[in-house]
Amino acid sequence: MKALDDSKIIELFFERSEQAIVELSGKYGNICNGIANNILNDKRDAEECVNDAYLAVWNTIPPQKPNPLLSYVCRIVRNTSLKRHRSNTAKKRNSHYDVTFEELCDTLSSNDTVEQEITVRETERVINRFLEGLDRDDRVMFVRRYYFSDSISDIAKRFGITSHAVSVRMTRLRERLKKYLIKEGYPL
Amino acid sequence: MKKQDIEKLIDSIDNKYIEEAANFNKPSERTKFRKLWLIAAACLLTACISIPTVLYATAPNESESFTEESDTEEISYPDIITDDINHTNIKLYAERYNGSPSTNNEAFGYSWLEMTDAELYTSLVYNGKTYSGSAYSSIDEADIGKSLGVHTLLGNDMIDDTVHSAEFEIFEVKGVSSEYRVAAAMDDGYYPFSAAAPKETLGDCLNALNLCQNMPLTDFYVNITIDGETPYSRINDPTKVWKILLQCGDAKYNKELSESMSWWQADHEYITFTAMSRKLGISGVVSVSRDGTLWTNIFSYARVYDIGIEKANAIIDYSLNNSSPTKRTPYEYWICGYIKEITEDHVLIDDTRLCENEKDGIVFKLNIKDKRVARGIKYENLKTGDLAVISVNRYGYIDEENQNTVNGINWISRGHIHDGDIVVFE
Repeated sequence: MKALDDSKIIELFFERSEQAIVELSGKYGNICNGIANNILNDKRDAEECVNDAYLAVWNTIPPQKPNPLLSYVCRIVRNTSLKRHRSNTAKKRNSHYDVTFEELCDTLSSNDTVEQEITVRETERVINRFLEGLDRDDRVMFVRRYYFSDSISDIAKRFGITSHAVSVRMTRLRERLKKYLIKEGYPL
Repeated sequence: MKKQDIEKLIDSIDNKYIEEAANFNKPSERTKFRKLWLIAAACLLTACISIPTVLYATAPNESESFTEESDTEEISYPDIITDDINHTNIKLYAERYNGSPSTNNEAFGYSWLEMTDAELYTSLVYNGKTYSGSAYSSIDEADIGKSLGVHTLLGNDMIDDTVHSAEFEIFEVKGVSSEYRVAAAMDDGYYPFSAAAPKETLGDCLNALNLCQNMPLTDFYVNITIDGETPYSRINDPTKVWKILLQCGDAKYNKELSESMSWWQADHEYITFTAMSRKLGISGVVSVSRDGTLWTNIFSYARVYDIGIEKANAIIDYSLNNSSPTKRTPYEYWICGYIKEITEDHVLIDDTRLCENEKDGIVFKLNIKDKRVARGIKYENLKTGDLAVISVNRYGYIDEENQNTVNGINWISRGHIHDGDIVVFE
């Protein structure tokens, strides 16, 4: 069955038709489950979070009319999953999210107590300008790894290259981000 | 930067980039080093002319269906390779230890000066085609053909975003057209450089790389896992699978399946062959599904060919019914031991304490001029008395006549003993 266009799905939400959830799940369910699973590393938790996210989408459309719909749903799934993850907090690293986040922290974080607080607007500007400067493959790899928390092997499969090649590129991308942040005046 | 700022940073990624990554399907095969190619094209004034070698007769027509009787009597096949492990002995040494350390520590952004030439200079333009290099393993010297002259190779320092160039002698690889593979003499050996193989039909790419004579298909697994392990089997007669594949020459490239994850997401039965070739610089897999497709990543980018249900099932049925259990063929082996001595010339590793019988202990020598050794010692801060784990590629060997010098090293890492096993922490 061919998936509906996003605009049609949003129309269904506006009509308060429960078919909207069916269509949304059919079209973007795999991606949503992937994000939640990568963060929570638990199928049942992930399923609940995705359902919570669908409910949040139901509750916010209308009045929202998100365009694009996909990133809107991804953002809600990610935030819902992170919230659950924090409430489940265990010190042990147990999910792809922990691994990917710690990877970034290793490169970017500091123990310096006098560092400045970065405003939301500044972070938006800096990360998106950094991504803009990457070629498409590097940008997609970066977003798949640190936003979607994909494993190295999943990214390798997606690109049809070796895990080693992905690992090396990710290392270089983190280094580039670090240099970019320093150049832009962010203390690391 | 605080952890919450890093979270904020990732949360702030623009919708358009999330959308782009969510919808991303692997791009069609294309030149990896477009930027380098442009520079190289400007730099290289002359290029040698190579005459593509006709390697063997065209594969039999697909319409000739495979049967046990017909494959040897009616169709003439080229010699088919059954193993590509020659002149190596690393397996014998590595199998003396209990357990095997696993690690992902290959991911390290070394500086330009700390990398080997094979790791650095990975782009070559020869006869107007762009080739990319692989530093995984050098090619056996016996497989190196005649010289194709000295050429400029390029390397991209991704950290500094600068392009470097250096001259290396290029050689033919015996049994493969230089249109698709050549070797560059660098570091301690000859490293393979690959140009994109044609992809319209399966026969095109099999012929281009003379694959049936250069890449054995012997070991496979079925898409099931038992107790966390994937059981591997070895085919009794490895030539059989190749003989069926050679009948699939007309199988068409399936663009849609090649450029998406659909093949892996489909609920179909398939078997997966380990596909490695030292001569061609290939480390990959070939999977065949009952619904008539062949998936492979041996051409850098994934490709799917429609080989037809009949041929696919012939391969799967033959493999399942004519094979016996075997151990997985590793992509790398490990030598482990306590560091006995570090000098400006070498490192000595003694594995006596790791052997069940101390009399079996061996002292191995690592050449510190090998940059992979030097940088491992430096970054892992290894000192005399520390446990070291040395990853060696599957074609590596121990030079017994030269103080058990280890050749084919990938990396060195600090080892730990955990629950009686040797482990490497990420």
